[in-house]
This record gives sequence, structure tokens and C-alpha cells, in this order.
Amino acid sequence: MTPAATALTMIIAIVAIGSVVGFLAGSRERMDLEQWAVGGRGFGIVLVFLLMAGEIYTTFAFLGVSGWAYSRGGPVLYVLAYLSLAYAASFFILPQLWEEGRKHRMQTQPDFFNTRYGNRYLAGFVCVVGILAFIPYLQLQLDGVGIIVSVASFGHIGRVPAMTVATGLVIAFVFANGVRAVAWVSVVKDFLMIVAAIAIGVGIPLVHFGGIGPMFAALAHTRPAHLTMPGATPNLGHSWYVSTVLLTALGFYMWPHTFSSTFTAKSSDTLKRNAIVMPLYTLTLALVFFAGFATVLILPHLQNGDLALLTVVRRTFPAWFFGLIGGAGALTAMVPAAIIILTAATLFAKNLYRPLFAPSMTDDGVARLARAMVVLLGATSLGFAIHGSSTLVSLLLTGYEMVTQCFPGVVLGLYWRRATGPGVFIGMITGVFTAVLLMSTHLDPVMGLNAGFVALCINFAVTVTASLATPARTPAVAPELT
Amino acid sequence: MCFTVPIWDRVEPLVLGLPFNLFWLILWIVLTPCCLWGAYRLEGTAEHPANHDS
Repeated sequence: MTPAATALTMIIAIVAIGSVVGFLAGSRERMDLEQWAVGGRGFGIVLVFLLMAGEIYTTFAFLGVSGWAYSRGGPVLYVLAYLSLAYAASFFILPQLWEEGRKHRMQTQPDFFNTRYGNRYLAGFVCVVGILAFIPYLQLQLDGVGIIVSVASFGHIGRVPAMTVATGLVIAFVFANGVRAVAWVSVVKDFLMIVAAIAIGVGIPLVHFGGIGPMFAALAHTRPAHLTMPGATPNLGHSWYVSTVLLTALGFYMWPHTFSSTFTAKSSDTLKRNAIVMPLYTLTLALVFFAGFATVLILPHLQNGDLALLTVVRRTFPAWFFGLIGGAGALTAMVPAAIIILTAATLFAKNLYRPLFAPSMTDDGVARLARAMVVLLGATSLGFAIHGSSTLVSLLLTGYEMVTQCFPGVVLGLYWRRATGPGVFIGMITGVFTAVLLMSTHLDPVMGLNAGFVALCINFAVTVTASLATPARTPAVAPELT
Repeated sequence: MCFTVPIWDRVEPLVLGLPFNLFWLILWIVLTPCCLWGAYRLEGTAEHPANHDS
């Protein structure tokens, strides 16, 4: 069998197994695993660590980060900084959010906005922002599958057919039984990914340079500027770095699905202990950085940086191993894609359409609308993926620039009694509008700063000003501090 | 925090074989949980009975 055939067979087999076994009960699997891990049960600590670390290896983490390490250099370091900050912020903010959620029976992000500000249009707008942000996120997952298949087939199978099939599969999963990850499918995927990460992060530098130290020494000798900021870019310098770290750290829990996972925690104490421990799992991301930087010297002239890691893996390891990684990688892309599509479609039908346009719609009607949205969202993301040419990291940042605009509404809502619905609404609209404007006119970074961050600052300022300018009302959700 | 970036964003000195900036960030990934744990302990001494799981 040719290497391509071997690799592709492995990939298809793994994806098929994942699909066929399907997704049975086990919703909120990730949160449960975290809580179990953090609960300190003691059993299989090493195993649990491996699994949790494996969860960190998303398409973005694996392909996107290595892609940017290859093509941008230093700026990619923001990824190592923002996660710890996000967890640190969550330590203080999430327990409060959880308390309010428990008191008022909140389940979703729009629920929070509706309850705190008493404004369904604001809640609806939050839905829109979330869905808009999800599209580049979905696009990135589909791109990931396209990359994996095209590298595995040495370019014989194009991205477009691969992505189209993947999209079709994802939509099929969601239709079949409203996706929930099977415990062991996730486990196998996580385990594979962390093994892959270790093999790749240690193996590639070892095979090509004799170790991680020698690899960095060589890179420091030949291309030192690549390792610092702005690296290989003209404009991603220190101020961009700081603004992007802040943007993504604050936005981390603003994604609709991560936001609502807060409400499913057993207690606010669990959330705190989570926040303390989770940064340690991100340490394994360093492995991706090692491998990513190694590719700079191994493969100097690649057009699309996101292909770098897999191309080097294909060169360095036997075809079956590549296939194994590729298959795990494909699942790693498709499982979240399914969850995202379902979340977005449900949000649209239940929290946007019904409350605002069709209050008497039955639950059945909502379900049917959601299914229609699943297809629409899948097709839209596929369309963007086929015609787009952004790097995986750029796509995620695009999503962040929009979703983080929800942050002022959340944090001011929790801690500032005087925040009003109209104030937050105007602020959010300004923020989203600014972000979209700056991004579409390619003014990102602007004045050296991440465009989304600039939009966020403007958002905050407008929210505070507009809140003060509109009449105060006694909020149903009483902030703890004034 | 924001203004210290230029101080540590450098390749030399290589620590444990890693460029300094990479090492610095990895170090802080380890230190953050320590800081948060310290905060957790401090908060624990200021009783918040509503937050304890029973």
C-alpha cells in the first residue's frame, strides 16, 4: 500500500468508528471530567491528566498554533499566555455568575442577559453575536479536516471534497441524535492526541536536530528574529500581543457553549478549583510549540503554514502513525463542530426566533427550525471555508473579536448595579460594529493593537456612559459589589 | 503586566534549552496555579458558607 493509501485508510477507519458508534448519552462530558479530575478522587491521576491534556488539543491548538509558529513566529506566543489568564479571570468571575445562574435558573448566555437586563432584544442580539462568532470557529474546524486529508493524500484528495464530506457527516451526526459525545470516543481521541503531541513534540526535534535544545539553538543561530515579536510579520508586535492576550483571555468564557457550561457546575467551589488546576494542562501545549518551531528549519518554503506540522509528521513518521494522528485530528475537528452547530442552531431557534418572532411556537417547531439552521450554518461555514484563505489562528481570532464584545455586559452586569439594558445594548452594538468594520477594512491590527481589543475598549466606554445616561432600574440580579 | 513584554521577549539567555520568552511563559503557566491556589486559601479564611458544597 502506498503511504497515502495507508494513512487515508487509517483516517477513514477512525472517523468511521467514531461516527458509527455515534454519540450516545453523556452530555456535558467535558465538564464532568474536569470536575472529577479536580475533585481529587485520586484514582488514575495520570490517566485523568492524560485525558484532560488531550482535550486541550483542539484543531486550533494542534494545527493552528504550529501553523503560526511556522509562518508568524513570535506572535504565536500569545496562545501560551491567554489560557492561564482566562482561568485566572474565571476564578473570580465564574463563581459569581454561577450563583446568579442558580438563583434565577439560567441555562444559556441569552438567559443571563434577559434576566439581568430584562430585555429580550438584547438577549436576542447576544444570540446573533454568538452565532456570528461561531461561523469562523466552524470554518476553522472544517479547514482542519481539509488540511489533514490533503496532506495525508499527498495532495491527491483536495480540501474541498474533504471538507464537504466532513460537513455532511457533521450535519448527519447532529440530525441523528442531537450530538453528545460518547465517553469513550472522546477518551480514545484525547488519548491519541496526547500521545501524538508527545511523539511529535519530542520526536520531531529529536529526529531532525538531536533534541529540543539543539533545535532551538539552531533556530536561534539562523533566524533569531523569528522567535521574538513581531517575528515574521510586519505588524504583530508587543502591543498587538498584549491586546490580543487580553481580548482572548476575557473572551474565553464568552463563547456561548463555554458560558453555559458554567451553569452546569456542581458548585462555585468546583469552578474555583477548576480554575486553579486547568492551567497545568495547557503546559502540554508547549509540545506543539516545539514541533511548530522545528518545522521552520525543516521545511523552509511552504506556502500555507498550517500544513507545516502535518507535512513534517508525514516525512518523519511511518504512514500508519500519520494516519492515526490524522484520524484523531479529524475527530478532534468534527466533534466540536457538531457541538457548535447544535448549540448555535438551538440558540437561534429557542433564544432568538421564538421569543422575538413567534412566541407561540411549539417545542416541535423549535426543533424543526433548529434542524434547518443546522444545515444552513453547516453550508455557510463550508462556503466560507472553501472560498476563504485565512490561517486557522486568524479565524479563531476573528471569532474572538466578536464574542468578547459580550464581556462588558456580563462583568458589569455582575458587579455594577448601575449597568442598564440600553447601556449594554448600545455598547455591544458599537463594539461589534467597530470590530466588523475594522476587520473588513483590513485595519487589524489598528494602531498596533488588536482590532477586537480596540472595539472592546470602545464597547466598555460606551456601555458605561450609556448606562449612566439611561434611567437606573432595580436589577433582578443583584450584584454583590457596587 | 502589560508593559513588561519588551523585557522578556528575547531569545537569550536560553534556559533549559528554550528561548527565554518561551521559558518565561511556560514558567508563568506553572506559577499561575500557585497564585490562584494562594488566593483560594486566602478566600477560604474569609468564610463564604454559601459557596461550600455540602
